[in-house]
Amino acid sequence: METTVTHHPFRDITLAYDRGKPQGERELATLAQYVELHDRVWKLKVMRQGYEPRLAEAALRIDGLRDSLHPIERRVEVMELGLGLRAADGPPPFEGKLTMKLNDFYDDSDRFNDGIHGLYGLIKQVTEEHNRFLDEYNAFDGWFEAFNDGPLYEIFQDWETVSVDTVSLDRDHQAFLEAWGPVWQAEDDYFARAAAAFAAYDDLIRVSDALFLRVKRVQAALDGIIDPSGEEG
Amino acid sequence: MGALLDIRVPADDRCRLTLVADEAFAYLDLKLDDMDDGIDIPLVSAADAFWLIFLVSGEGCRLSFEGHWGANALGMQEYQGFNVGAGHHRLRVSDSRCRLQGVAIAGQAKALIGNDYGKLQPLALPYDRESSAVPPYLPRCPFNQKASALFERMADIPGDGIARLYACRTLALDLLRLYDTQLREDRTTDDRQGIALFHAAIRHIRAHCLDGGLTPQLVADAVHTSERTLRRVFASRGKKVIEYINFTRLMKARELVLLTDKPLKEIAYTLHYSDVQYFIREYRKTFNIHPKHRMDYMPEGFDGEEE
Repeated sequence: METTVTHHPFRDITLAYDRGKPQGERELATLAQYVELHDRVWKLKVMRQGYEPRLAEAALRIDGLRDSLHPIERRVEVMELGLGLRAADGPPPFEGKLTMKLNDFYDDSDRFNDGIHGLYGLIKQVTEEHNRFLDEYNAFDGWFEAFNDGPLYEIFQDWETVSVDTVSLDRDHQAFLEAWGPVWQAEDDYFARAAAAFAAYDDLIRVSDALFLRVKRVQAALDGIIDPSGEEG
Repeated sequence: MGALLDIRVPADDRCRLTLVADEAFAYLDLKLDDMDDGIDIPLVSAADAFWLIFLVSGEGCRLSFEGHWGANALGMQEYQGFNVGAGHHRLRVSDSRCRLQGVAIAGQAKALIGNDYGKLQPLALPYDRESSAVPPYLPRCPFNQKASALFERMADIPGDGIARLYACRTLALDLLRLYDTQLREDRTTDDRQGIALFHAAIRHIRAHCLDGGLTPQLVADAVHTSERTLRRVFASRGKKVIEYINFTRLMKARELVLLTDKPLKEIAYTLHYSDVQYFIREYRKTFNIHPKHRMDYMPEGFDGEEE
């Protein structure tokens, strides 16, 4: 038996051969596909690792924007009450005169709008990357199943005639599966984090849309009592 | 390369040879018995069977006797004269797990060497000193041909008695080494057959895990083996067949969860889980995530196009 090691960025492939047996085309093709299996897993791993920082950044920015909505929501609520646009659920939150710096409110709202618009480009990129990865993942899934149940299965059945020592191939294949396990788990984690980020983005858009409508109502009411020069009417 | 022969003859008239060469080892159980079954094969005299035993017990080997029968059977008198049981004794030869057995009567003997890997290897003793041909009942494998050649060379060594036996020692150890190689080859063959069986079984499991009621017995039937063999093949990889069936079913569940929008209840029933909560528990236990997380989730109305 002659042992050969094929160096691969994912993991080294170690196989033994009985050089006394000729290698048929089918065996050669299967072994080439076995290397391709490593190529594909490696490609998925590199792709995902490249996409993960942007996904993490998007998730962080979504959370930040969601948090920044809270003070705006509180101000809108106070203004709605003050302008009589809604009735207090319980006792009035305050009595007497309320002074609110509208500029702060507008600044917060502007910052939020800028954030949402800035986020859109990132979400678009993250979505495209996610879709690309998903396509690649699904393509690999189908390919792997066909390879596993086809050529790889057959080479193990042909152990008497093939040149490659199926004991070494099986051992290497098991080692591959072991190496693949954490990568596969990381892919699952990536999909879960992407799903969570997209859900958070949806929630952010839904909440901010609803708030925008309320802001428009408040603005309309304020337009009635505030003249364009900013002086109280 | 270490070679060891251990002959033990306990009080129950059984004689066990333990052949050890490197990591391979073999047992040869000999028992005097008036047995009627077994396969009678003209081979060598009973004396020659013991001659072989003595041959392989040379330097670097260990020879020990236990019980009264051993001293009688393998005493120096017999060694020198090669007349053990001449014309009278029946020798039963079987491997340690009694898979096969043969009979050696005076003038007829069959020696079988068994091993721990499930193969029983007939030793090609020179049944006919005039012919170097491998006996027709023996597999025409390289081992038997080489073993025959070794015995031929032993037979050709001039001299008599102990001196001749010592002269044969090297050849006897060569036989051990040859047998060791054969054991390794047998084991590798077993491994390859086991690997082929394992991959055939997992392919069947993957293809039929949605059928429901898939059992180790059904898988064994599908790959034309016994359930016991299948269990052994899986056990050699630290797996149980039923665990693999369940795991494959959950892998299919994962596929359905991630790539379809089927309700979990429907997926659970598709995979023959009678209780959806049990399915969710098993899924979480296996994948460390709740099946409600779906890969195909996209932001609502977000298709990547500029708004």
